[in-house]
Amino acid sequence: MAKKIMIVDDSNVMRMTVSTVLKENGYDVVEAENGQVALEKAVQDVIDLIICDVNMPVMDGLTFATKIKQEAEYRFVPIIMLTTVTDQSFIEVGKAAGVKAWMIKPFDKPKLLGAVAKLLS
Amino acid sequence: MSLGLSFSDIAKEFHIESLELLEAMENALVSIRENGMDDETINAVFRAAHTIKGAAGMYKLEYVVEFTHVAESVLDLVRNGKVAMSDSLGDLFLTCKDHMQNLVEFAVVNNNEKSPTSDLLGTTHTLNEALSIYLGETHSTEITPHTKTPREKQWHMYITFGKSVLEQGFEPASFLAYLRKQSSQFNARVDVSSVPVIERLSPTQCYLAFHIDFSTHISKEEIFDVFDFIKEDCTIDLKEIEPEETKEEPELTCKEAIPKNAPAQTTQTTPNYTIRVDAHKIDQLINQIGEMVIANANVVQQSIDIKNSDLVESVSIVSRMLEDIRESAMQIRMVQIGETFNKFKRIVQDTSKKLGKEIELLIKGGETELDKTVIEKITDPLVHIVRNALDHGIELPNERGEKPHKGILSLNAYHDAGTVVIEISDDGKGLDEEVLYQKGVEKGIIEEGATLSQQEVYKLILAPGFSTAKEVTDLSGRGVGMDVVKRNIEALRGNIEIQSTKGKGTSFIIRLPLTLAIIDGFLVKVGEIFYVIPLDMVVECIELSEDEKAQMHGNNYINLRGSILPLLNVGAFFEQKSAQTNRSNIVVVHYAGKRYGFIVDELFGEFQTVIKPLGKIFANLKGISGATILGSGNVALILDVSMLVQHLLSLKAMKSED
Repeated sequence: MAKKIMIVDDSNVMRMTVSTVLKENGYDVVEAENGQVALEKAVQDVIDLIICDVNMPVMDGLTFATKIKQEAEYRFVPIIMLTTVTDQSFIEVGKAAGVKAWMIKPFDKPKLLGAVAKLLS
Repeated sequence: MSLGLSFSDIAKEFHIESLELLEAMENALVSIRENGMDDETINAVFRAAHTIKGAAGMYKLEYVVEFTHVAESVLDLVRNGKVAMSDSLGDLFLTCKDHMQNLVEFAVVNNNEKSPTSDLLGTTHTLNEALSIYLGETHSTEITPHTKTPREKQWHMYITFGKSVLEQGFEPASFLAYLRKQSSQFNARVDVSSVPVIERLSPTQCYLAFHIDFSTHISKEEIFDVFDFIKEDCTIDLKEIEPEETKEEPELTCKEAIPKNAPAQTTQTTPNYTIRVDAHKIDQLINQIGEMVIANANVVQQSIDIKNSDLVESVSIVSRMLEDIRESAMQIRMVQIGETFNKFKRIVQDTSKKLGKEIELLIKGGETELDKTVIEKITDPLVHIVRNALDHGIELPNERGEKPHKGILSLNAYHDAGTVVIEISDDGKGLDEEVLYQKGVEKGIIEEGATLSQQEVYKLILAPGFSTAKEVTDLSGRGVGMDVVKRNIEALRGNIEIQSTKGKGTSFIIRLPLTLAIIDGFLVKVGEIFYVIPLDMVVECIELSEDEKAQMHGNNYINLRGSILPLLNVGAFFEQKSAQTNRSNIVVVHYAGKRYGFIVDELFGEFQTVIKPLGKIFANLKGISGATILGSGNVALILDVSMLVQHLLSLKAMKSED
């Protein structure tokens, strides 16, 4: 069965872009426009990997990452932060929350797919 | 780097998203200028720039990225408190926002295939230089190492206000509101358990207590400091909560509990979910439902003919449900006008600054809903009227005499009997009838000595050619006059009325139909052809007896209860070979404050119908604004009353010259 990946980003353009790349490579995709929506969708679904932006309205990506990691089902689900934020202090917060990879936008397709494949294996 | 998607695949989304973000950015900036800056608002501005940059970066719109990056850097400094926000910086950000919009539009129009014009690059350069001043500023002042704001902590507070807190002149809600401002999350539950029975309730005492869950970055001491003024009287129980414990579902939450002297109500807040749908799909749905209504009318007719009461019953249930469905479908297209009104905040601010006037904008009825197409088409005329009011209506502060120096422009929208009314009022100098009349004569719009009603004189300012290019400042229009206003509003089947008191101000009152797709009509027949007259224009119907026919003054007018009613023979106007029937009916319509009679053969009564636009071939057909299909399958033509009345008036004018 195809692995399911959730994309959390407030930019519709960004979600469409990432989602197209992933779908082309045989993944199922779920989209959410902020951390709050992502939390709600995550608990109702079985997600294998999460790709998440940092700066979003309602609930930002790091808060989301911290919260989702507290759900028993998501303790071991890898999270990739895909963002333009390069601030080390943010990255530290991410690491503490259990984020597995920190990628910078605009992203490189092979790199992203590589990271996804590696984390899912 | 290939993404699997090209810019053209995403251009539409990119365009919509960017425009929405830019609008949010403008609203936030305007709000900062008005109410000062807070974290959430400046963050919204930053996020908008940031998201656009991110999306543009994906598709290699370098010129968008580069420019947005500079603006974003300055915004980041403002956000972190390293550069102070000022009016001039706010203006600069607004200009940057406009420029970003131009760049985005350029990218979308040219499908990212062209390099930006030298004009655009020039503006980028100028703005970058202006922005770099702020960037430079920080290099010297950036002494403090970059520290993240302390991590937020979550708290639970139980606070009981002293009974006499209101008597002492404090407003408990304001303390909570302040605390809420300092918090990123804030849920208050009101505890009304100590409110006594009504007989023993003293209206001047406060009986309320609150459970508050909030998360904030301020310290425990600072939280207590919030309640410093009333700390003698109230009891505060404050506990820090470990993040795990706060996972409980928020129960009945009250966004902002305001303890008045009566028990406050608790309301549940539900998130407002929205789904983005292609407008085309909705149009299609509405169109299909329209077809269905027409088909249903046919079924209704047949069921009546068959005379089976069970069938009639069933059909009527279906009809009613269909009516509901249509109503709901139309509702999808309805949007609040508030968003459009908010755009005027900036126009008013910018314009009043430019003109050296002090003007306040009052907005009422922003929640009034109307069809999105109507809103889109009404925006331009509104801009014209508003600019005109700012430019010519409201005086300079020293010319305002006894009135307050600050002029007031108010926008108001409300529903009134199936129409939407939008009022634009200013408290400026009002219209001068004599000046308008003179100018009308000078410009050759009216004849010297012509008798005009007050309303007609006022409406001269809407006549084409009234305001000449010489007077059009860069504010009052982009080379187009107020005649656009009238034309656009009439194209929407609306009308405009002007009220004015010299020295007191002017009001433009625009009436618009709720929607363009449906019309409440009055069905009539002339010869073999059905016509629909918009119902809101119909006043009454008169049947003409033979006697009255004799007094018809050659089909031109009749005497209706003491006043003259000009008549238009609909059949003759459309050059129908109408078979003379012995019965003649007159439909009395009112238009622009006057009454006119349309002569028709038969009356069928009220009739709600879906408008089908006429094809391009009929673009020059006068007197018809659209068509519709009746239940029987017959086509009915919708009369363009304003056109017919104008025809009638021109006939009258010709006759009076004879």
